[in-house]
Amino acid sequence: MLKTKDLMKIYRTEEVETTALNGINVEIAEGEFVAIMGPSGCGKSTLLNIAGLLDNPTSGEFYFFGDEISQLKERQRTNLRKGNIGFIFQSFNLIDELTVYENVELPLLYLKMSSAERKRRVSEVLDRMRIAHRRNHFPQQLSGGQQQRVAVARSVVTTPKLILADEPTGNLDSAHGEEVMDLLTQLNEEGTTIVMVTHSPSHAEYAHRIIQLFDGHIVTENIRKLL
Amino acid sequence: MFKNYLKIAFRGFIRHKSMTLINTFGLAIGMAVCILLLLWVQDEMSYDNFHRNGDNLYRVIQVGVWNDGETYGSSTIPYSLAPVMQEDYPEIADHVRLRTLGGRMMQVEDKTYFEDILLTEPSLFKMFSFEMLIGDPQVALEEIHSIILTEDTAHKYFGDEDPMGRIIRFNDNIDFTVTGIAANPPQNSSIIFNMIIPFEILGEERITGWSWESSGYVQLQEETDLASFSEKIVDTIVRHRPDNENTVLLQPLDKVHLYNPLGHAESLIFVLIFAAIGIIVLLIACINFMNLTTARSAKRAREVGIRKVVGADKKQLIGQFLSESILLAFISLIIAFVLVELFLPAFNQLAGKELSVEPSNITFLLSLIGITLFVGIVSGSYPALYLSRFKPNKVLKSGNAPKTKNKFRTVLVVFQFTISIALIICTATVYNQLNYVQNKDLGYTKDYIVTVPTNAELRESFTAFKEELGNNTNILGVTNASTSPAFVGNVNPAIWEGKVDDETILFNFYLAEYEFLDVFELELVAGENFRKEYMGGDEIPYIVNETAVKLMQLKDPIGKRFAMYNEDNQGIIIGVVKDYHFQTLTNEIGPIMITTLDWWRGEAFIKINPNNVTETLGFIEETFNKFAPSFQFQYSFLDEDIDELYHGFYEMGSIIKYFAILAIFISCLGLFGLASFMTEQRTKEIGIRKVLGSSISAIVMLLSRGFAKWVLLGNFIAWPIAYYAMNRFLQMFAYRAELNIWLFIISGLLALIIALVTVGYRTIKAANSNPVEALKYE
Repeated sequence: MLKTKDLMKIYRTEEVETTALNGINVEIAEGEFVAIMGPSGCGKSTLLNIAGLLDNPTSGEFYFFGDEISQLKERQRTNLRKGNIGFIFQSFNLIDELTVYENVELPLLYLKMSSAERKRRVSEVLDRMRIAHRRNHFPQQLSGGQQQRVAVARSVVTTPKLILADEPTGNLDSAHGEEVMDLLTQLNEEGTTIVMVTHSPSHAEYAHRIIQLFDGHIVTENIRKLL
Repeated sequence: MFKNYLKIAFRGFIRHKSMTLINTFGLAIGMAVCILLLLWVQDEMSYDNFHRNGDNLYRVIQVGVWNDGETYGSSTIPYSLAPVMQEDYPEIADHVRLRTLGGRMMQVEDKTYFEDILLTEPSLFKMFSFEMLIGDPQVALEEIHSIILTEDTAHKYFGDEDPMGRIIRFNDNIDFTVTGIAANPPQNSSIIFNMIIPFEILGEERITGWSWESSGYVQLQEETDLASFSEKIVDTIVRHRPDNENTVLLQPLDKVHLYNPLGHAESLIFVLIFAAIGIIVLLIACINFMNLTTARSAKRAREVGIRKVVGADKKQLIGQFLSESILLAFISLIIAFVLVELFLPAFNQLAGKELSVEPSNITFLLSLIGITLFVGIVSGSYPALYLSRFKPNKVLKSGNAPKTKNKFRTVLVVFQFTISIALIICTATVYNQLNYVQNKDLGYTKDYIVTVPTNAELRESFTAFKEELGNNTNILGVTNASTSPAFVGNVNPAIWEGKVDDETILFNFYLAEYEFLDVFELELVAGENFRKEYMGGDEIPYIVNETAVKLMQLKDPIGKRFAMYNEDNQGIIIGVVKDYHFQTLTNEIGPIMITTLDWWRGEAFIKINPNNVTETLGFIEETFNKFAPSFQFQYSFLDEDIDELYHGFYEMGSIIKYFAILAIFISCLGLFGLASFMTEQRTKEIGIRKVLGSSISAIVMLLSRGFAKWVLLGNFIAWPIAYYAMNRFLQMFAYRAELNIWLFIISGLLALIIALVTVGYRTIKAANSNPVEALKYE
């Protein structure tokens, strides 16, 4: 599903040049659950952004479903991303002015779906995430765990093939963290590929494989369990 | 999707109340200004467009050359010109002549009115789309003593009674019978009238002569080629009157209101300037929206990131932000409408119009929608482009917009202040000039002089009237003359001993009683003053001014033979008066000849003691009624009459003043919003500085410095612009107050102080905040 070859990402400001990723070779198959770990600034988020088509690499090749797409324009990346990739963030990133229902509905609006179909899908996913009773609340009225459940609902409402999660449990207490991990595992079991950045070794344990990054390199690839 | 945009927009508006208030209020003011000006421009542009034959109607203009070689065009033409044109040229289908007699006394039973009366011919109703409500114009003007009233005038005179056949007494000696009722001419008509009497009342001899006293319009046959016809008519006057070299020109009816007779867009320029100022005020309001929205972008960056992540492309985001600004513009439009309704009466008074909002007018509605879309798109475009550029991977991590120095925002604020400061300077300059005009020594005394219009009866017994007034010690002098000494508009050829060629040289002329110079304290520089015994003597005495002497190149003018108009008025120059301003200060002092001939010295001037004014006025009225019992007593003060001559400039001054106030107000509204954000953004910096020992005043200074810099920069750009514009304005005056650098400095300082006071509240609050709070917050 995803494959990189000699992937490099260099950030330049006027005076400083930072190498965030330095010759990354990685392959992630469909249906996998992969965790990426490493200290702050090792390039985890950069890798996740490139994988999520939010950013282009400086050099190297990047294959998404077999197509080399490392130099796509923003517009093309947006089109490819739409409906195919779901995102979950540490800080939830819900829109404050929209209700739970409207936040979850948002990706569907950009897919130009009929309103009846949207209603059906949103209701279904809210039920699954056990957040339906809060559908008319605004994010500020929810607990952190509830907010992250809404974020997960939003990421899966388009039934994407790939979910990218950037420290999804980072802002949650352990009970709520476990809850989110269970949801991700469940989604993975239903066939969704999941790539997750985490600092928590215990949550990394949920993954099939753990990739350790350090200073832009892959240091170990630990395959925990096979499919 | 659109519903989602609206929802987000509305909830956002409510969440950021102060920002929404600043934006909508600013935009509403800008739009209200624009709507008012739109109404005004629409009205100006609509003049005379209601005539069905409008495309074939032309005003007849005669073109001549002044003494100094300058060409002038005049709509005042010889009586015979229009009729002979119709005789001479088959291309002319019809013609009409018009003349207005100003301020004539009209009496109905015991009521007295002073009215402007239009003298014209029945063809007026055939050529122009003025409507007769009762009577046929052909019949109604057949009898020489018949009169047509407009609906309003008929109502004013006779109330609900039937006006037809009623008698109105003109100037206390002629009775007119009402023979027709016309609809009131539309407000946007160049030809206006309250009442019409037959042109023939002027006398057969006069209206078949070549005296320049009427105006005239012609109607061309359909499909006349204007260019070749215009060439054909150029020499019409000289063919009939070989002594007159003036040429003839046709001015299309739709150009009569906004263009001068020579076709220069005199009034149109004012229309365009005000339209431009209106748009600029609107732009200033739009800039507020741009600045506040981009300043707020930190808060919206996350939303942009999320939307991009879940599948929005740049175009959709631009669409979202634009629909948001357009929505805000529509909300502002509603408020603007309320503001327009509130301020329309005041604006009408200012502009001297009767404008009204007619929501049923399609063009007006379309222009409103146009303005709203313009505002929405202009103010939304930059924020939309700016916000939609954010990269989701950057903004989602930090939750903030990338911190860059926004140069464009600085440019916009500087622009706002440039305009505001330029308008302040313009206001100051206009008022400075008007102040100069008011205080300028005109060369004669204008204070405590009462002007009283008189009739023939009083003129005949003027000496006795004067004597009787002189018995009152509060009356310091009495004289009479042809017009106000402040505005002499009549010219006649001057002929003098030793004049070399046959060229016609025109002098202004003034008919005055012998004590004119004494009452007005005019200074005689050579020769002697008029004497009582000259009145009606054989040798007509003339007094000329210094400019006239220079023009005639006379070394010793006293005693030289001199005549006005023709040899019938032969006399001698008895004195030279020091140059004085007998016209407004927009005119250079020209040559003038003053004589005691009494053709129509209709204005009496009475100098009174500044004490006991009411009592003295009472005495004058009493005496007046004794000498002219049937004539209505009216009076005015000369200094006020002179101010009235500058009415247009006062009007312009107050319009620019209001624009300046609005511009600076809207700019400060924006600056306040911006200051709120910028101090908020620097909370951490302020905290650190305070922890490190900075004083409150040092922080206030630090925060204010940036704003002060913008205003100062605005000053430097505004100064040359204002200098150029005001130089042009002052060129309209032959006598002007010099442009003073202090006006610029004070205007700039004023803007700076207003700006600093505006941001002061925010900066002082920020500087006083607890640093611990600030640091914990980050």
